[in-house]
Amino acid sequence: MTPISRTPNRDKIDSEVRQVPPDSRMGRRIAKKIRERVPSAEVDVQVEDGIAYLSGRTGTWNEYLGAGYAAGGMKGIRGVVADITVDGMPKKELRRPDRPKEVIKEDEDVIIVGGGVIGCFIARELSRYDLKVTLVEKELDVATGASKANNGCVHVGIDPGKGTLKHRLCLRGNAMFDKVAQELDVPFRRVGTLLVITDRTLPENVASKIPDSLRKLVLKYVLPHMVLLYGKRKNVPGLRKIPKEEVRQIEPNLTDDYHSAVLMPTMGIISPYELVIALAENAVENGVDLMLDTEVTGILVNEKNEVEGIQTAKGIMRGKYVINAAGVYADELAETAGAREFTIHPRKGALIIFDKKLAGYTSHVVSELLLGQDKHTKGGTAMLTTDGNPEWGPSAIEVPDRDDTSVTSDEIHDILKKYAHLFPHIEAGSMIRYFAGVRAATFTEDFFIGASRKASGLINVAGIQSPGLASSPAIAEYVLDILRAEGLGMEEKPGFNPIRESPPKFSELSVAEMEKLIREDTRYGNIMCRCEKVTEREILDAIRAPLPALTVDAVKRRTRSGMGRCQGGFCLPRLIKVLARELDVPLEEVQKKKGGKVISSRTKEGGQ
Amino acid sequence: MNAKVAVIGGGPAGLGAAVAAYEAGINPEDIHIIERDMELGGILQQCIHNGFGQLIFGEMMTGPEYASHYIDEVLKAGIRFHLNTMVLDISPDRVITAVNQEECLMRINADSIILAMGCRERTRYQIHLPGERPAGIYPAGTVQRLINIEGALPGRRAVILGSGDIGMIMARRLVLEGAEVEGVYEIMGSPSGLPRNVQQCLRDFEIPLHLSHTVTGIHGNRRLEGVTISRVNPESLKPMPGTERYVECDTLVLSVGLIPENELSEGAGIKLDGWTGGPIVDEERETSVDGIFGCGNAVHVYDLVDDVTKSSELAGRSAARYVKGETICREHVLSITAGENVRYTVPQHIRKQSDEPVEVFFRVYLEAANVKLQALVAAEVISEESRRVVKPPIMEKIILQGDLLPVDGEIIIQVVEK
Repeated sequence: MTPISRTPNRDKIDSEVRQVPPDSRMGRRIAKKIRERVPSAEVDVQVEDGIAYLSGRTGTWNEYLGAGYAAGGMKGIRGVVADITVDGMPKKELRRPDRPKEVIKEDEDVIIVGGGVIGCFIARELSRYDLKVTLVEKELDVATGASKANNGCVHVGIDPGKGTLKHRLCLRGNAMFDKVAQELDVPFRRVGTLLVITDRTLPENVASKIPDSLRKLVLKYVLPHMVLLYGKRKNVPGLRKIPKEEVRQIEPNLTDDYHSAVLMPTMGIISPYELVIALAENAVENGVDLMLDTEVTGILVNEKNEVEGIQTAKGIMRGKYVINAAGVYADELAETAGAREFTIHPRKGALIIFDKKLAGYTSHVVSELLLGQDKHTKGGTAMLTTDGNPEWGPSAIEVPDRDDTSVTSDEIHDILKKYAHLFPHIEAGSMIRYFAGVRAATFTEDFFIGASRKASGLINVAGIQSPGLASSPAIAEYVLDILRAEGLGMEEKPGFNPIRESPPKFSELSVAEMEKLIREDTRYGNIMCRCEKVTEREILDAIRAPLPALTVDAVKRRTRSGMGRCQGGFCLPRLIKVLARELDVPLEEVQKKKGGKVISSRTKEGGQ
Repeated sequence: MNAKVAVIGGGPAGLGAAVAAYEAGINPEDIHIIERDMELGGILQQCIHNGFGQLIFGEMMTGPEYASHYIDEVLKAGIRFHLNTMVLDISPDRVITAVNQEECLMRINADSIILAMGCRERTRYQIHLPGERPAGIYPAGTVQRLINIEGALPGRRAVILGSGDIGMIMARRLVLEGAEVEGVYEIMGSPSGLPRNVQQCLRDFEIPLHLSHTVTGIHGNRRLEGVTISRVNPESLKPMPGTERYVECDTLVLSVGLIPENELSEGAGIKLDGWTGGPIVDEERETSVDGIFGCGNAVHVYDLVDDVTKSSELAGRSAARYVKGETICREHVLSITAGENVRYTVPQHIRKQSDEPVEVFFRVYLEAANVKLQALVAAEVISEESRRVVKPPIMEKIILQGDLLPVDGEIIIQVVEK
């Protein structure tokens, strides 16, 4: 292995930062903007090196957000740190678990914090090189946060503004998906987006001012044409206006009640958690040490503000570079290194899923063009999962709590109502599940990716929200470039194997193939999940994989056991017995997810 | 493999149907019961409380006792059965594809099929229960399996949502196992399970029953920490703001309704009834697909296992007649319409085979006192019975005399005040 020098070579990366006015003038401009937008807020502004530091108080969470966005929207501001208290909302006390001083890793090259799609993608890409890489994740599985709770859209890149990281990385990431999905054996389909222009496209106040005949012309001809131009300007390939007759053929259950439609063929769908699991498995097979159930409590820096490693609940790990891919907690992690350059504010998104028996009901990502909506909350589509279940959402709701993944009655109702405009005849009763994830939004609304200017050796990969999944392959590539620029030498490892094969899925096989498998291993003949037809052998495959499934939810994400219409009512008692047997723990220790035991104890007569 | 009668499911319905087909003259070697669990008996095996068999045997039996009576009959007759066997598919031309570990992949060409898969439980998602998704939220039947079969206690302090029979029975069971049951909450103004269970499972154990209440929040990211309970408006059933109450609990048991298992029925192209969720059947329990019959909770959810057995015996006899080519006159259809205060009926139509009396099962929408159950043909009452009270949780039945039934047209079943 070549010795690694950590000589920063930042010119290449920093050249992208635009010319900005002097800090003090910028500070005054931001303060003025905040006063205009949120008059009741008492907020001081300091600007340093393109980062706006806000401090003070506001009356409500919405005012807090208003202040943050006012600063984040300013040209030349690359990050916003919001140290603002909100009346009646005490700052959440950080849990400080044990900090054992035992050193459990001596000299890692790269330590990645966070096992979401970003952390796992970076780990997998680094595993191409002759490096010591460790990925630490606080939960018992990868993909337990936003990476599992999104709709799996591989976006085309039309939404982000030109010149943003989001735009550049989404375009590139989207194009990289075919190869990575094939290498990792993850179902990925370029289904295309159908963008429909309807009576709701123009905001009420605009529509009411335009005469009827002109409005129809706008909706039918002008707007689709503008979408095409917009797509061209954003370098999104293949956009075309698509006539109604053709739409009827390719999406027969879609309402007829729209004026025009544009097809964006590069939109893809993928199972987001299957992708992350595949990346993690491939990384592990190529030598990355993936440590689950390892909460990081801080980044260790020396007096020269150089990263020396991390403190975890299991001990100290020393390493030269730390990648902060901690999702909604990325700002708190960076803060432990004294490197405050951004604040994350959580934005919840709820999704609903319909019964797989409706597979084929829709075959595209269908969106309604809605102009004049709040740019922070727009979005959401009527689409399908790679298994064929129709899936609607997500919503976008700002919530103060980073762990708030609840779904309210209003959210369910709103989603059902919103997309029933597009698919009015779907049976609402065939909805089988809803869930929510929390987006790690920053006030600048762009990804915050780069070497920290406050702690050398810390690479922040933060603010990753939509189109984060689509961008993930390009983000990983970009982060490797940053590591090189920061002085990490990378030499290709001869044994790197980019191929990962997923075990067979019984329910997707032909009858002949099923028969063959059962003859090879009779455990394929024991169906444990009735709805999704998951066999005992598949569950064992998941538990014995390179990255073992340790919980009920981990098994579910790998096999679909419990994902059907009965939602685990049938398979749960059976599955926990297999988990207990395979993990060699008592039944009462089996968990749905970390900290969520399935049962509390044996019964009076049970357990003998 | 060939079968004269293939029975999908080895619970009370499947057992009753198989035995009846045997008694109607089908060779036991030609009757196949396919059961997905490790033993025959179905859900009865986890119903260790008593209360079964009063109508048929005139005594109170436990679930396993009731099941063992029919299992013995099956064994005695030499009827074939396949355990640990999951049916993957039933084709409209009656080819069954199933898997197990011994016989691998089985294809059974059946002259007739009896659907006896029972029912499944509604989930929290089907009733739009809001909140987080931690461990500790289970349907009542899953809790019953955990406690009675696996010897596993799901939690220490439970809230029960819904006053279905299994929910109330599990409330008592949890208390007997040393867990605390904070209360049973029912969104409707009256209990949805049988009155005897309200008395024996709740009142006798001093478990509070809160009517017109529901769960409006689920708290805890990992294991359930508590639920929010709200009072609902009795008319709109919408939660009333300001009535929220936080209840600490580690377990939420759902007893919010049962739906016939209908995946296989749908796969076979059988027409389903939007109200019952099960196949539309005639008085012989034949579905819309030739030679496929349905019975028990796979057709509509019964209150009592005794009625499940009776319906399955009817289906078993019908399948035997079908196989022997004794079925007659299937052209004419007499449709049965659910009239005033009748939610649905089973059967949904009659394809008159004989002048035998026909029993029509139904449920009312609303509780009512001093009423008449009536069957009308062309505005003329052909059958009438009196009831002191009718309630949605209690299944009703009216008997139609065969010789009074026309071969086609419409018959209306209604419940009217005296």
